[in-house]
Amino acid sequence: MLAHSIIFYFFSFITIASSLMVIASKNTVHAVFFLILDFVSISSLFIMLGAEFLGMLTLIVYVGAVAVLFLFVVMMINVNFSELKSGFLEYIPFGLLIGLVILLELGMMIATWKYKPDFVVSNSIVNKTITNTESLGLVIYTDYIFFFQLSGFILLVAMIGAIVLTFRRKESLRRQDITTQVSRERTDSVELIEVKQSEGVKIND
Amino acid sequence: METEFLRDYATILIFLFISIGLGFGFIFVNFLFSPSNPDTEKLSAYECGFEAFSDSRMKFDVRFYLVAILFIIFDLEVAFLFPWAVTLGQLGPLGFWSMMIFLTVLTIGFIYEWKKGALDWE
Amino acid sequence: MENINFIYPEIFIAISILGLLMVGVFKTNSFNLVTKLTSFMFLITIPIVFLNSTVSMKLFSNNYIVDELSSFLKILILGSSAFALFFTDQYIKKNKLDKFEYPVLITTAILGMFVMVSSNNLIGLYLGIELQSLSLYVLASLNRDSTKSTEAGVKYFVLGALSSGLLLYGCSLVYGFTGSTNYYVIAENFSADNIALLFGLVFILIGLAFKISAVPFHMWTPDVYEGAPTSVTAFFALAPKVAGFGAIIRILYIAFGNVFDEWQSILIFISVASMILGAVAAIGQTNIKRLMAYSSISHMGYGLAGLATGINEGVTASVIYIFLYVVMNIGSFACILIMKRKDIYLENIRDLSGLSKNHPLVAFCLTVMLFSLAGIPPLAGFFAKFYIFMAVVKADLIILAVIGLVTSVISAFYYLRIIKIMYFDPEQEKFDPISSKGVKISLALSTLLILFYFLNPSILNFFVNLASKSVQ
Repeated sequence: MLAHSIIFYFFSFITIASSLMVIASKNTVHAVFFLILDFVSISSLFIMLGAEFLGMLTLIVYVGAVAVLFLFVVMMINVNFSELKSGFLEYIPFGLLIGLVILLELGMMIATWKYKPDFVVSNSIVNKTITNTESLGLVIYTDYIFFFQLSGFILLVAMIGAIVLTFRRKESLRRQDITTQVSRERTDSVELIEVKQSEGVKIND
Repeated sequence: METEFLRDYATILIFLFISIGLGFGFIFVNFLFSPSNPDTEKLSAYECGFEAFSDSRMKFDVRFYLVAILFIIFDLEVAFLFPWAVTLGQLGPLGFWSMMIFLTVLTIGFIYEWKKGALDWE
Repeated sequence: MENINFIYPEIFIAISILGLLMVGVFKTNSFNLVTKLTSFMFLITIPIVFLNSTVSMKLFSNNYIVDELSSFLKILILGSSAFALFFTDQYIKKNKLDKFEYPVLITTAILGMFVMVSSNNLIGLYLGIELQSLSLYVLASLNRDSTKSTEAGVKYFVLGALSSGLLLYGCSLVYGFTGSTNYYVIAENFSADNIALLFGLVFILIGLAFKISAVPFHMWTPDVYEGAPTSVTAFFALAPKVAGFGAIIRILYIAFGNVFDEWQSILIFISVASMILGAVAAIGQTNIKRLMAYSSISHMGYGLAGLATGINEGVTASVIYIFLYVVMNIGSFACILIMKRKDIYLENIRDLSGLSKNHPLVAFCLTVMLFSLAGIPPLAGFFAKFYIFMAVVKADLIILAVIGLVTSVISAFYYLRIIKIMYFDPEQEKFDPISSKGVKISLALSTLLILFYFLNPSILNFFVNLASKSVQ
C-alpha cells in the first residue's frame, strides 16, 4: 500500500513538474521533450489505475507519433522567441484569473465529491478477471459498432484534410512513370529526316 | 490487490529506477569531476571565423509534417486492431465484419493518398 | 441489427463519400463530375430520410434515435447543403477552389451533422461534432493561398478544439457521476444537488454554444465568416446551425430534461447576450459577410430563446425559426454571390449602392430577405419571431420577450441601412450579369417562400409540430 502511494506520488510529481516545464522552457524543442516525459509519466499513471491498454496506447500514439509531429511542427515554423515573449507579461494577469477560476471550480467539485452509490463497484475494471483490452474489445466492435465506424470516417477526414491543406504537387519536376517509360517505342522519340542541303531542319516540339 | 499489482510490474519498476539513477548519476559525476572553465566564446557557433549569419535551425519542408500526420492516422488504426485481435474469438461475424468495414474505409483513404501522390518524395 | 433500415440514409452517405473520393481521385479534373454526383446524392438521400420520417426508433441499444425531429432536421440539413453547393459553383471556379475534395468534405460534414441530430449518447454527440468540425476547419482554409482564409481556418480550428475540450470535460464529468453516456441513463441518474454534475452540464452547454456561435462564445464567427471563401461561409451559416440546434434540443430535453430549472437560466443568459451583441455589434460593419455573421449570432439568440421556455410551443417555435433562418440565409447569400464586378467578387456594403436602378429584381429580392431578417410583417421572418415571442410569453418570461423585441428593433436599423443604400444612394457601375443558374433559382425560390409563407403557415407548422413532439 505504502509502496503503491510512493510510486503514485513519484509519477504525479514528474507529470506536474514536466508539464510546468513545457510552458516554462525557453527552447521549444526542450518543451517538446518535456511533453514526451509528461506523456510517459501519464501513461505510468494510467497503468497504475489499472487501465493498462490506455497506458500503452498513450505510449504508442502520443509518445510515438504525436510527439514526433510536434517536433516537426516546432522545427517547421521557426518561431522567433523574443517576439513571441513580448506581449507575454500583459496576458499573465488574465491567464492567472482564468486559471484561478478553473482551480476554484475544481475545488468546489472535489469538495462535493459524491459518486453514484454503486458506481465504483459496478464499473471498476481493475478487479475483473479479463484484461481491459479484452473488455474494451468486447463492446467496441459490437455494441458500439456505429460509433466505431464513425471514428473510421473521422480518420478519413483527417487524411483528406491533411492532404488538401499541405500537399502541393510540383509540376516542374519530372516524375517516374513506369508504364509510359516501359512502353516507350523507338518511333516515339527518334525520327529520321532527310536533311536537304543549305535548308536545315525545323524542330517542332 | 495493489501489492500484487506492484509485483506484476516489479521488473519494469526496478528497471525504471536503475535507469533514472544511472542517468542522473552520470550527470552528477560529470558535474563533480570534469574540468570547468566557462567562457561565452566556447558556446558561440563557429563559422570560419565570422560571426554566425543566421540561426542554425532551418525550416523543415511541410512534407515531413504530412508524412507524420499520415503516420498518426494509421497508428490509430492499428490501435483499434489490438482489442479486436484479443477478442476476435468471442465477437462473432458482426465483430469481424465491423473491423473489415473500418479497414475498408481507411484503405480507401490510403488509395486516395497514393493516387494523389502524397506519398511520393520526388 | 434487424432495424438497420432506419439508418439507410447514414449508410448511403457513408458509401457515397467513399465512392465520390474514388471517382474524384481516379479521374482528372473531376470537380464538375463529383459536384454533380454529390448534388444528385443529396437529392436521393432526402426521400430515403423521408421514408423513415414518421417512426420513432431507438437503435444500437438506445444510443441512436431516428424520429420525426431528427428526420425533419436531416432533410433541412440536406436541402440547405444542396443549395449551398448548387449556388456557389461559379464562385468556386472563379476563385480556383475547384478541388474535388470540396464536395466530399461537405458530404462528410453532413454525415457528422446527421449523427449530431440523432445521437442519444455523449460519445456519438462528440464524434458527430468532430466529424463535422474537422471537415469545416479544412473547408474554411481551403483557399490556402489567401492569408485571410488560412487565418480563418486556424482561428476556427484553435477555438473549435478548445470548445471540444470543454465539451469533453463536461462529458467526462457527467459520465463520471451518472455512470453512463446514454442520455436516458443520464436523465435517470442526474440529480441537481450534485455540483459536479451541474459543472458537467455547463461545460457541455459551453461546447455546444461554441458550435452554434452564441454569445459569449461567438468571437470566432465574424473573422471566420469574413476570411473563409464566400461559398464556404454560406455553408457555415446554414447546415451547422441546424445540426447544433438539433444536438442542443436532444441533450437538453432528453438527457437534462429533469433539471430544467438548472439550465434555463444559462440558456436565457446566452440567448439575451446573443440577441444584444448581434444587434449592437452589427451596426458598424462595412463588410457584408461580417454583417451576416453578427446577424446569425442574433438569430441564434432568438432560436435559443424558444428553447429556454421548456415547453412544447417553444421547441416548435425554435424549429420553425431555424427553418426560416436557413431559407432567409440562402436568399441573402445568393445575393452576396451576385455582387461581382469585372469577375471580382465584392464584399463591401457600399458596393450595393444604387442597386435598385441597375438590378431592380435583385434589389427587390434582397429587400425581401432583409425585411424578413428584420422581422417585418407579413414576411416569414415576422412569423418566426412571432411564434418565439408567443412561446416565451406563455412560459412567463416577459423580460426575455421584451429584450427580444427591443433588439429586433435595433437590428432592423442595420438591415434598413442596406435597403437605404440600395434604393437611395447614387448608382455605381453595374454588376456582372448573373450567369449562374443556381444563384437565380435559389434566390427566386427563397424569395417566393419568404413572401408567401403567410398565406398558409400551417403546412410547415404541421410538420414542425410533429417533429418537436418527439422530444417531449
